Amino acid sequence: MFIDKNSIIINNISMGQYIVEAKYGYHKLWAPDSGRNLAGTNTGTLVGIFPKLTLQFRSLTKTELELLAPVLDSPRQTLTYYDPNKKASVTMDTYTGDYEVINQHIVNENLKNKGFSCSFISVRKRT
Amino acid sequence: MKVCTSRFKSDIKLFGKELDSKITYTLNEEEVELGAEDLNSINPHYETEILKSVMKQLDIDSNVEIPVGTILTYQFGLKIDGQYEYITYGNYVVYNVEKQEDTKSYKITCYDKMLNTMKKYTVLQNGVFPMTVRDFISNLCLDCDLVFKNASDTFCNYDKVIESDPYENLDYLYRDLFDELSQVTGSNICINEEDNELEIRYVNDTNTTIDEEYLKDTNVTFGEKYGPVNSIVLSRAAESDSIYLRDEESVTENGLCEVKIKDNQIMNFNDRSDYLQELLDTLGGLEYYINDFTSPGIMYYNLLDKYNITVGENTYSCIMFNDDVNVTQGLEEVINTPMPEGTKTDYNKADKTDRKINQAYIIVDKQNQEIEALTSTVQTISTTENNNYQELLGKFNEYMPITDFSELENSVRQLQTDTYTKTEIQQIARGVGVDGTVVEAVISEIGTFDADGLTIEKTNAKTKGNFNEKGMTITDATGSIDSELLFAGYDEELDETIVRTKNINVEKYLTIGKYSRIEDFIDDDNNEGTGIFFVGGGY
Repeated sequence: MFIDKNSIIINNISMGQYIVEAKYGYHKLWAPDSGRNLAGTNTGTLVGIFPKLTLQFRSLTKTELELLAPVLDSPRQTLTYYDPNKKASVTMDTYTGDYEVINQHIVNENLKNKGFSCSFISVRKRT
Repeated sequence: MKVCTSRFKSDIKLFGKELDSKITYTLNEEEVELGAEDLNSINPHYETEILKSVMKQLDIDSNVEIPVGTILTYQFGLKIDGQYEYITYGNYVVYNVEKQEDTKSYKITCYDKMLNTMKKYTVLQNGVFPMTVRDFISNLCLDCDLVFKNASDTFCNYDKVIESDPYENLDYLYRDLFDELSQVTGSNICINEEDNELEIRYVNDTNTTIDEEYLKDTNVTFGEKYGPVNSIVLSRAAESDSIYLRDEESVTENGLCEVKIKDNQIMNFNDRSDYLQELLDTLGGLEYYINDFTSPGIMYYNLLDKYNITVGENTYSCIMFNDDVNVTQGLEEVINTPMPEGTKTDYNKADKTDRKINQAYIIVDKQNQEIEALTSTVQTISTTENNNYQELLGKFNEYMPITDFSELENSVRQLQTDTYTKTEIQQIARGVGVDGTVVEAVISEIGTFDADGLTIEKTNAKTKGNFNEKGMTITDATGSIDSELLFAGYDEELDETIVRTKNINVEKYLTIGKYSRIEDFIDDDNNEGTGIFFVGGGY
């Protein structure tokens, strides 16, 4: 939940100033033993809930993108967000999905990259 | 049953259960705990049957190496109301570690403390014979660095006395001894999961029932019912010498279901019938359903727990003999109970005790590599057998086989005691009679050498011969009483050596004394006759 401008911090960088939208996903992962038992009842093991944040970045300047690109490209990130279930800020290790940036002209401090989105997926289940 | 709450038993089957595993051990005097992050899979399992010792196994796929010889504890956790409740699977000893280079993890094989018994037994290190069964187990535990949980308890045959070491230098493992002691005590000997002590375990009726909610919808099989057990058989010498004790009422009502114990070194002597009653009291009535099913997880039953499974309108009474749990991201438990190996005893050749006036037994003494056999009534038996053969032959003649003999069995048996040697050559021919009946003819040739000398006899033979220091006797074996046909030797009544016979056929002539000869003649007139002729000289 985005409750203030510092609700999402990735690798110590507050993302509030760079994004126009944050989508919070709470994805359940089920074990292979899930299915129906002899009574027809659903049964199975919940491996856990793996939070996923999808951030929609605004148009970024050359300098801003140069700041964020290393974070987006790194294999692991440390992300802190406000979790409504826990009613507190939660820190988790994440990995990123692919992202693509569109340039329709020369990019500098005045002419910006088009906006894009990138997802951050928790490596471990939420505890 | 493992110690756990009723919530554990009900929540284990629910959709969305959350699991955890913990392995704890001490390394370099530091406590180490491995959790779900370090463990890829855990597989505790055991396989056994009635009257065997059990060694439970734990297979681990871990990202952390655990050294061989480490004693670790495994606990399985289930999340209940936000907190994990753990049940213990007990202590295990790391036996083998392999690095898997493809997954960069370690495949670790562990066994419970029954592993301590997998060493060679030469002679008992603690205690002196004679000792009771219970003391013997206690002393074996001392040898194996185990604690005997039932050292002060009473159990089946606990107070039977073992006179001397029956296993000395037999190349057994201690584990083999515990297998045989399981038979003596009518139990399964195993390591207790809570206190890791060696336990004499019997079937534990949990009086619990589980239903289809605990069963997967594939691989669910329930077979026939085994039991109720109503006969205990102890056999030795390759099952040729058996004694038994039966619950005749149960046999009549339910049919025979026997438990046969073969060649147990403790129950191998002529006091073995003393063990039968307590074994029958312990095992009599045992019954359960054969089964094979996969569960999404039950987890709280222990070895030998008895429980019921309800499927639809059917209820099956089951006992835990084999359990295989696979804990990965999810949980799967495979339980199966196969039918015990079938045995068939010829009760006509068995008895209820070895202690009879007319004894016949054979004991194999493996330590001294001797066979002791007592057959004091063989003479009587051979006569009886000969008569039976005559009856068989009589019956065989009434059913002339329509096929060639389909089976011809030849055997030679030799039996020797301190006073008796007997060799029996036997030929058994079998064929199919006109009505389809399998008929059999038995022919025996028996040579017996005893205090009466050498006696030769054969099925259907008209005569029987005996040769000893007094002479040679041929008797007529066709009648119900053997009558003398020929005797050549020393006659005690006449006090002289003679040849005596009933009938004699002389082909040419008979010389009597020095002067007379009896023989046939033809005179000058071609008349034939028999005359007595003087053959002496000087007359």
